[in-house]
Amino acid sequence: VYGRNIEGKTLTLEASGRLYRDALILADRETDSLWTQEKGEAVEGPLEGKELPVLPGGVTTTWARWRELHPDTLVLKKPQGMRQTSSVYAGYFSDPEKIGVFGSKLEDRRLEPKAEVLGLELGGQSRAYPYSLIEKTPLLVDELGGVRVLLAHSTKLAAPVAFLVPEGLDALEREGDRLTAGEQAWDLATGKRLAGSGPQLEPVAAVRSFWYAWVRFHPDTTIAQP
Amino acid sequence: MQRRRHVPALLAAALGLAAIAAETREPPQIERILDGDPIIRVLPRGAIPAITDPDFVSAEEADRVLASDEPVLGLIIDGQPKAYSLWQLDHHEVVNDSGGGQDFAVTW
Repeated sequence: VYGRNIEGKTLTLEASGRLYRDALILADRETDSLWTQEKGEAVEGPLEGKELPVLPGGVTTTWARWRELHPDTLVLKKPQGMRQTSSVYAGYFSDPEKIGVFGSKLEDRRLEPKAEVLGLELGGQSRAYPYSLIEKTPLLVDELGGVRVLLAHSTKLAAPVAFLVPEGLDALEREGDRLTAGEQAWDLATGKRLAGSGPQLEPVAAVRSFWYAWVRFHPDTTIAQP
Repeated sequence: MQRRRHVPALLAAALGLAAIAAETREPPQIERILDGDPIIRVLPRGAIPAITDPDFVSAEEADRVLASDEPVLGLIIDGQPKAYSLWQLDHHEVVNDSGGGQDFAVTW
């Protein structure tokens, strides 16, 4: 999710019809610049070199789980009569051999090509956090690019989440999705404060990705270790 | 965070899947090389229509058309939760949305 206000303009983005490293290239209607979907970076056109701001905090989960957590949610309206039963890419997601459209060459096999990772980029450093590691680590606290981050597998979302570690807090504990530090508590599924006073948890921009795709755009990435 | 954004709808064209009508396909064409990798044109621009003026419904209304196990991208914008069906986004790739005093694009 990207902000689309840049250089005093509000951009309207759409698929440009192009692929780059098996990811989309977007185009904006206002300047016809081309943007990588992966990094939100303009690679051609009047805005070349500009970057769209990332909006952190998006999660992917099922409709039932999201609805349970957020009964007041708004939902993007579907056209009349549109009721789907699966993704058009179901076969692609489930086939471990299919990596990209044109038979990509992946030389970096530090992880399996389709290992799912959460990718973070902070202070010029990028790091991949394998789902398998997040799932078996109740609270994964790390420092990347000088920023302390907290990764966890939310039970309620059945998905990984990433937040900044609240300022000055160290003794973090977890029970279910309840994150506590002394008298303070937050919900890992929503970032909302449950006890104490002060801000909510602040989400960190993180990309849910297959390893092969992450490493193509971040060749210098490190991998989080247990 | 969290898009599995590496399986663009353009794959549908390349893989010959049903999302894209046959007549809009064209042979993939390398446009130029950027940092060692090709930018490949697969479809005419606009073949996958972005949503530019999104409408939203309540959870109760959405229950009628979303399956309970349907994957959604969930966001909280200025306190307002919003959900976007990923099966639906497969057909659009981009939703140009606004809320909480900002304009943003949900891309998939």
